[in-house]
Amino acid sequence: MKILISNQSELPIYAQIKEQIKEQILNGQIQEGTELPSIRKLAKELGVSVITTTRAYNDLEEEGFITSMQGKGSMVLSKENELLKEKYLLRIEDGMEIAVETAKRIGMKEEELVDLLHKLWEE
Amino acid sequence: MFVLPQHIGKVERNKTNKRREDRVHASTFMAICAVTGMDINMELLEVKGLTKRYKEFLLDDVTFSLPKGYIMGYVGQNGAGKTTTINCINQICNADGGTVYVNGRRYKENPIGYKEEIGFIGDESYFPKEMKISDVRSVQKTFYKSFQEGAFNEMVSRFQLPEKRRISEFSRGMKVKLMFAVALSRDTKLLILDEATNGLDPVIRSEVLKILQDYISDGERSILFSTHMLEDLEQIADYIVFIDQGKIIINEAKDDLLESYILIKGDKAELTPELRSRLIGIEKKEFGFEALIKSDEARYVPKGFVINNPSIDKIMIHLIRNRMEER
Amino acid sequence: MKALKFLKVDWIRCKSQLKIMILFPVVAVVLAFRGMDNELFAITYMVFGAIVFAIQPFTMEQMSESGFINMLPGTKSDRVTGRYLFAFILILLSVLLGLGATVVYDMKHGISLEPALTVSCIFFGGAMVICSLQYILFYSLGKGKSNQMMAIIRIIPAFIMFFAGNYVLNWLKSGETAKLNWILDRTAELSALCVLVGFFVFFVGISISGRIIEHKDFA
Repeated sequence: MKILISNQSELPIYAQIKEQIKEQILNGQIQEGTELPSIRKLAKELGVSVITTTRAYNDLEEEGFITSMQGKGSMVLSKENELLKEKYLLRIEDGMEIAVETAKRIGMKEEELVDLLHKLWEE
Repeated sequence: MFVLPQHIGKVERNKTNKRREDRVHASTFMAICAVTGMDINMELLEVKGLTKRYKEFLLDDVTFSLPKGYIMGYVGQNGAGKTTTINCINQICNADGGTVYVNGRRYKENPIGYKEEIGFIGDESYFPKEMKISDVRSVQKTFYKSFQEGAFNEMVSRFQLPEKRRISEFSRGMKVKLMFAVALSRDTKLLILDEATNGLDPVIRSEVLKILQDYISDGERSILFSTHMLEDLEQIADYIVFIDQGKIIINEAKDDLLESYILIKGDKAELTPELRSRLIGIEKKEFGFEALIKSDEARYVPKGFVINNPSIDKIMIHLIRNRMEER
Repeated sequence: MKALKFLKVDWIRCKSQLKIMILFPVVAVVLAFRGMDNELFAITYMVFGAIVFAIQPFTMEQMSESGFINMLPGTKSDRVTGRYLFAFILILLSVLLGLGATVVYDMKHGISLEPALTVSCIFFGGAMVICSLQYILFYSLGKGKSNQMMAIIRIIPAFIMFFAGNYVLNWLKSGETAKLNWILDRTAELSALCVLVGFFVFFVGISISGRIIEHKDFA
């Protein structure tokens, strides 16, 4: 896990933490079932307040990325869970939207794009 | 640096929801404890209606509380009442009114237990001027069962404090380090720092911040940290209590505080009476003005203004300016 | 028991100054048994030293130490009691040392021990009264105030007691004391009375001093 806090960022610190963990879960750098560092440990390591990390974890939990186990810490949830699935779907949609828009802009036909997708899938 | 007003509005809404939930959780928990007769105390320090009268100064009905496991920044100008508050908590001064609970206990109930729970680091060396480190060590050993001599010696050598010299000959940094060694080498629940990091170099200050985070890391201990050096607090403080002229003006979680205001800069010509009435502590400069505004009033800020997230410093400065204008 | 811990703090703080105290017995013995022809001088001189040094803890105190000393687990009355015990021990030790030296001298020269015992008791009681009154004064003055004044105050009562005591002793020795015979016949009662009064004022002093600082800041 990697978290880099910027004091110049327009995002509040809790949001920076949340976004960076989320990103790493979504792109697979943090595997499901991984135990995240405790709220207090994370705060200490990052040099931020406990309330800040608490809020980041709370938000991640609400959005279905992690679950906190009483007295144990937090764990990254399985991709099978509904909320998260939806997030993944959204991410795929976003990517595809860009692909489709770009294809249209250069006059690519639908079949050509699907072909390209097939090829990429095979790789 | 730039934040769209809409974005701030959104964050604000999320935040209020979250806080309400937290409160529900906490109150349910308390209710369970009350029913089951569990003796829990969520607050490590509770100050209620603390009042102290001097000829020229009044500490007026100071109330705040600090839960277990958190750091509270107690901020304000010099002479705002920070040290007076701390002296009253420490029972060095007698309050004229109000109550202080440390870990659920009042001083009168158990003076010795009360003082044993507190570790104190002052703004100047509080060691008797004729003492040496060996004298301090032997006083600690005499008074505290929980005094860990090994830990104390380890800190003394890590901080490179000279054993043979009188403490009065130490540099300011060395004196502060010795106060830390004294306060951290025994069991305490509440660490009170009164302007302790003033005048320390940046390296030591960052070391101190680490020490403080370590101290609260088991979630059982808390820190009250008075300072006017706000960058230190900006990072690690969970709560901010702001005292101005003996009165508490702000008492909030730091993240909420930082989000509840935005700092705007704009042309003086655009200062309409309507906008002016919403701005806090307008500072006019030659080429424009700077002021605070509540985040939920961000929609009243005209286009073309520069909008920033304020630091605690800026919030303090503009709130004080606002108070002076109101006079 | 906390009071004993505060006594130890006072001891730690004053120990460098108290080293000078070692000179007192030496001077006392030399002066009493060689210089003057009054062997009781050893006792009066030692008590003089004790009264002077009993003030030491007050002259060292400063407001800035409150963050350390006042934060030590203990009540104000523990601190006051510790301070009074400091005086008590100083006085007791001085009297015992002075008396011890005199007893040795007296036995060698076949002099009666009674005057030495009586003078010891009177001076013990007197020193307890003077120290207690001084402590009350210092507690009401407060910490770190008028150190110079303290420096004067600390010596005057001791000097008065010392010189007055020696004057009376010399006068008694001169033998023109017929009118006082009724007292001189009751030295045992007189000694007991002095010791009792000493302790009485001592305990009253503890209580008054505690009350004086109860509502004082930084005290």
